[in-house]
Amino acid sequence: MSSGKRNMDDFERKLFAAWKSVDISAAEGWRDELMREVQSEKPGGFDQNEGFGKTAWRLAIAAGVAAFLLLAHSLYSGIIPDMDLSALFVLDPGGCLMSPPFSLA
Amino acid sequence: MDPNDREIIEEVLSGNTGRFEILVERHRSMVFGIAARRVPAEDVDEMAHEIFIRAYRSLGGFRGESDFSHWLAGISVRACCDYWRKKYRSREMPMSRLSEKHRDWIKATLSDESTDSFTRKEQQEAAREILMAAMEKLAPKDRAVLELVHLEERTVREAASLLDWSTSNVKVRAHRARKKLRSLLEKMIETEGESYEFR
Repeated sequence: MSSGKRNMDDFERKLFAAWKSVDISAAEGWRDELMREVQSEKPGGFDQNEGFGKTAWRLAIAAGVAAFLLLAHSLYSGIIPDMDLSALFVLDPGGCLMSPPFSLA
Repeated sequence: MDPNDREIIEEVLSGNTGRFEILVERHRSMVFGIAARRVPAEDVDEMAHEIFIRAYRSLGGFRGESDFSHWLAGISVRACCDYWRKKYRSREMPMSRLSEKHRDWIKATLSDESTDSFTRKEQQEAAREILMAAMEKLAPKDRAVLELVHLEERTVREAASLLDWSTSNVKVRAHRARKKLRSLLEKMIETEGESYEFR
């Protein structure tokens, strides 16, 4: 092993060891302040911070499934051709009225 | 006999919220230990406060599949990760620069010179500040996984469970984060901190 790498490993080891050694002490009154906040509200079912991501994903999946089912139902019940006709009318109302099947002439 | 954590949780959920104080007393040193290693000293109390509040708000979601302390440790680790994520998002990252003291320590350590001119406390402080300064450049998720796997030497499975990630994600990120940290430290050493700028 080169001395450079050995030095680097040694350096890193010292940093990692120092990271573990910290003073752990709470400020005076910390617990009282925490308990004041705790007693001002009810415990919840789930943490919104923790649960929001998962809930959003589940809702997105449910919305995707619902959209697919709606599309399948629309195709099955024949809404799509009606939509095509509506689009045709919006794009060219004059032409539509002059030609079958809407022909006024 | 003292009631166990689950019995206390049931009491808290049934309305005796004052009993939460017993959980705080039992687990505060663990929570402070996690927070004190991960966030700057001036924010540790606030971080520990937020961790217990998060735990309290999600107490009903504790299924008892693992120990309460493990569940609380997971909340603590993720809350600290969120702390750095918010700092990144709001671009409030501290702009650390190495002082003369840090540069002297790096020089002495690398050249096998005696570090007797530093007290033990000063040595630990300098080393810790150097590491924290380098980690400021890591992405919050990289930082979180590095702290668990390489600094606290937890198993991949344990880290995955605390972060709520897959084990393969932990392995990949831990490896990548370690490499990034090594290259940041090398850059720091090359210049002995002289021109090491953060961000």
